[in-house]
Amino acid sequence: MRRYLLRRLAGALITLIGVAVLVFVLLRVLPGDEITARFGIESGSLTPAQRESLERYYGLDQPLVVQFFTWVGSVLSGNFGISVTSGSSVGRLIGRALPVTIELAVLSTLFGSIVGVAIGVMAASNANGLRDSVGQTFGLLGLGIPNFVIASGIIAFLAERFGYFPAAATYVDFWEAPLVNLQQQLYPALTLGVALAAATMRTTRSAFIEAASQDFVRTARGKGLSATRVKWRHVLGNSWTPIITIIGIQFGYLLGGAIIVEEIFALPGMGRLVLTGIGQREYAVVQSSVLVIAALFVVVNLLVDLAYARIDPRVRLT
Amino acid sequence: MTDTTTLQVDSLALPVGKGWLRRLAKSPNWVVGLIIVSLLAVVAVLAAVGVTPFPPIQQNPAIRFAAPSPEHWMGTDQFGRDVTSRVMAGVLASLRVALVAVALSAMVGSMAGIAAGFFGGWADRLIGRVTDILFAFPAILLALSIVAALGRGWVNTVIAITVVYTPIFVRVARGPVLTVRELEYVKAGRVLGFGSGRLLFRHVLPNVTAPIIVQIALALSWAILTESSLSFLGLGTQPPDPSLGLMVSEARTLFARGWWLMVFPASAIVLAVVGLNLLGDGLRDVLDPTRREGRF
Repeated sequence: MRRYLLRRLAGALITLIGVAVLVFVLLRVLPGDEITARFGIESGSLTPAQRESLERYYGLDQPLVVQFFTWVGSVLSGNFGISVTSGSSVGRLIGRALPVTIELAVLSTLFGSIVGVAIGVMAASNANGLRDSVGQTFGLLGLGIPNFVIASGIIAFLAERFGYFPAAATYVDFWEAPLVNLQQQLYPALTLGVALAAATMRTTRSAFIEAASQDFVRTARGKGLSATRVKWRHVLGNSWTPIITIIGIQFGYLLGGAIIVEEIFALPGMGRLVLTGIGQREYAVVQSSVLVIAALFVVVNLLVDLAYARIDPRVRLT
Repeated sequence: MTDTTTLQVDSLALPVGKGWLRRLAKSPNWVVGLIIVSLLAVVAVLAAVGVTPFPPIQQNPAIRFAAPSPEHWMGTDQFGRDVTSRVMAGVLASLRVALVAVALSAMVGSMAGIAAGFFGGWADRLIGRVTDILFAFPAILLALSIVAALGRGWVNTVIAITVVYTPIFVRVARGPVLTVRELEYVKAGRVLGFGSGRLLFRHVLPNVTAPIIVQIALALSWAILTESSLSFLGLGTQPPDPSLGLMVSEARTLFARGWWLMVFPASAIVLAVVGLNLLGDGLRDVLDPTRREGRF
């Protein structure tokens, strides 16, 4: 177990280094540099001497390898750089945006997994019947309707019917006013949760059907347990491994899907930070926030793998 | 010995003989998916050869926000452009990006995956590492970063989607190759002195085509999702050229003026994604007996 953990940690670390290199290279491909971003069109009228001193100031006169390691070094020491447009440190921007995205991801996972497991069990316990068809249709549409369509639909409906504009309000922190905050997170979380519910439903359904055909289910029924107890305790209890896997994987995708949904509902999370950063050519912001999201993604995947052994004693990590 | 080998190969290979086509025709998923996808393909071809009711970018200020009517089936938009024609052109734009991108990623990814699985060693480790790194990004974030780096437009969208979906094909192709590589008949081929090329193309490749075909259908549906998301964010096809994602995005603020501005392009996206998903599910049910989901 310990050896497995060490190996996985080492693998995750190498992946993260690769991610850092990729992000760094991608941003160097972007036309224009930090000087152009800072001065706009005026950067064309800079004298060579001014340009040179600016390049020295931003470290752009250094070879790329040196620039890379300088960046990684400062990131590791907690210095993510300065956002030119807002003037505040990128670390602080991320510190403010990350909790918003994590809250959104947790809320939509909660909603998606509860609804998904419920519909999955409902569909599976009536395999090929009416309830199954309803469940399967939900699964199909849930995965087929893009989150921006759901979000746009919700916004249009709320505005039209109730004159409520969820994207118009200023975001309120959970600790300031929990109820207002939850109200602001509700629609984005529902939007993101639909796809997760659909994926969870499909996995739950097939895992449940497979577990239901096992001998221990017959035994449990044979010794006189009620059908409900067998269904929820024995069958579902033995279906958790694939369900947790899919929820874990989806949680990772939520971090990506959140980009669009945050943009639509104007939630100041990581996705919005990245999008605004791209729009404003903010190297430090995009570079660091993409790295943070990818790191989170890698960590979540690692945790999902480790969770197997806890949930299912049959899984041995070697 | 022979029996067990056949059995193992069967569970991976394309079902041999005529049976698989008949089984496909019996799969309701596949049939519905095929009908939807064919319809959209016809629409795209019509748009490609220029057979739309009106030119998609022709403006007509006299008939802004006209509701659906016999003349304008899906109404007109804020510039008086015909929504039907724009949806048709948008379907073409989406399908074009998805098809090119998935064809490229299927080719590159499967070849890399097969090479990794077949040759093992450092090639496998290198390819595996690159795949891991690309998988460390949520798909839309990676696509977004690439488009941001390369610039907007449909060619760069294709490149972005190709990079995002190549790793999936690497994984899908590599797995079965690992199994097939160890089977008796491949070992026998080696002993007989067959070259790597012959072993790969004659003996290994036919055994990994089924999962790759299934993956292509599913990847097409994800590619359409990604393409429309990018254009929704304004990073895909650029105006005035029609794109489904952008149409939905614009319709958000115009919903009160005309529901048709959102409903029709959104339905086209959903139809495409659901149709391809159904097609993929149907193919998987028939071609890949180890993952027969939904047929219990």
